[in-house]
Amino acid sequence: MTQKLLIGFVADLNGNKNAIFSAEPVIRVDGTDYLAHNGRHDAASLVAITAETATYVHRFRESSHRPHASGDVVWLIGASLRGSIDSVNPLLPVLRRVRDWETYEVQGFAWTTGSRTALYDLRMQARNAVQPLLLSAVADDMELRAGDGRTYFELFSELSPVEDLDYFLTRALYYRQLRDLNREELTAVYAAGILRQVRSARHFRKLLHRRIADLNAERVVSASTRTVPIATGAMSEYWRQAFSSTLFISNFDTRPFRLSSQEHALRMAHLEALTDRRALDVWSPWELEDRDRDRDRVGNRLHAVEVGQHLRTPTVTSDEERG
Amino acid sequence: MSDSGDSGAPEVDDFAGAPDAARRQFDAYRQRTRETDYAERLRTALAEYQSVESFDVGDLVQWKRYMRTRPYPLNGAPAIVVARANGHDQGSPVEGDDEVDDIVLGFLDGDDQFHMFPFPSARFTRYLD
Repeated sequence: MTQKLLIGFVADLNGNKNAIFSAEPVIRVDGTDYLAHNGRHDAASLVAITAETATYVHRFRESSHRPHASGDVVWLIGASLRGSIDSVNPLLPVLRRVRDWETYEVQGFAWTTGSRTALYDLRMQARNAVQPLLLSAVADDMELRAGDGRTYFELFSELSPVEDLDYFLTRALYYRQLRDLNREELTAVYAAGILRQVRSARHFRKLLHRRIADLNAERVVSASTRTVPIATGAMSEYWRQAFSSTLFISNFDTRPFRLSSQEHALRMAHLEALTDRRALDVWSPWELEDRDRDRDRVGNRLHAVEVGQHLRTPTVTSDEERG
Repeated sequence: MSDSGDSGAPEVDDFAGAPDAARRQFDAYRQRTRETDYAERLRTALAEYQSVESFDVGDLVQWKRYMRTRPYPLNGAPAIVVARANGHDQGSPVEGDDEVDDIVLGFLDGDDQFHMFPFPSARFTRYLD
């Protein structure tokens, strides 16, 4: 039987320094080089490398040539991702074997061989291993900004073999905790565009709120990240008084909100918080919309209660403020 | 620490009182030695070390597989050959090597400051950008 020798692969390495991915192998059979689609050896899957296509082939040094098993593709990992893995290696034993991958001379990539399915499994295991580390990190402001939070986030993002709902929610949570509202919103938009189970960006934000509530319930995410906004300046005193005389209720994401007559003050305080980076928590415009709608829903219920309790005098809430 | 491994006899704790990092490193080493392909990986490491390449000043190089023994440079990150060293032995008994540091490599640190240190060239391979 003619030996099939793995001699290289076809892939574009540029821009993939922070990625782990697979590439089509190039094998040598009887002195002729072929690209083997999906690593298969049948005649239909082999495409001869010509003089024109030879420039696209990355060739291993001769000492790295090895017998090629049908179905195996070349696994590649970029230098940046290798560096991230190195830095948290003790925490991710599933990735320790990356050290066994052979060094490729171009741009610091490392490589090994295996099936696409096995690579998917490895990446999913690694993602599952790094996710708890990331969730712990986002609950700790120091870890998030000055510790390993960013490394965990990059590992989670790059190792993930699939962009599913859990992937998007975890990434959005990270951006939320960083107060990076633009990226959080982009994540919601992408998720709505890619996932069938997400109807819209607004629906995604609902799901995110549920995830936050779940994490809070498990005390995985620090309660300190879900505090009431602390406004500063003259408005804060107004706000403090407004809160002190107002009924609070916790909505789904555990933020207290107030009802009826002091709504304007609350809105002003939130706007102040939005423009004041010293605020502990910032509500984005879409959250204000969500809050308004939920406040209306819950407010109507409380309104009925108050009607019963206070001589059938409804709490005043202007239509204008409700929008 | 008791050892549930091969001998059955309690293992001597060589790292009693040692810093946690040293103990963790030793525990990890002990774990590796028990793995079935440990011997095969040793052979691979030797083959890597023995495939010596020659470098000229200005060449970019990177660590070979299993060959990184210092924090700088990172795995997969390039360093530049600054000079051939004078061949004096920089090996330390703690590191357990008697290697000759025969090339000087330069790299930029996080503050973009250029550092140069002698390294054994046998631990490095080419880096192409």
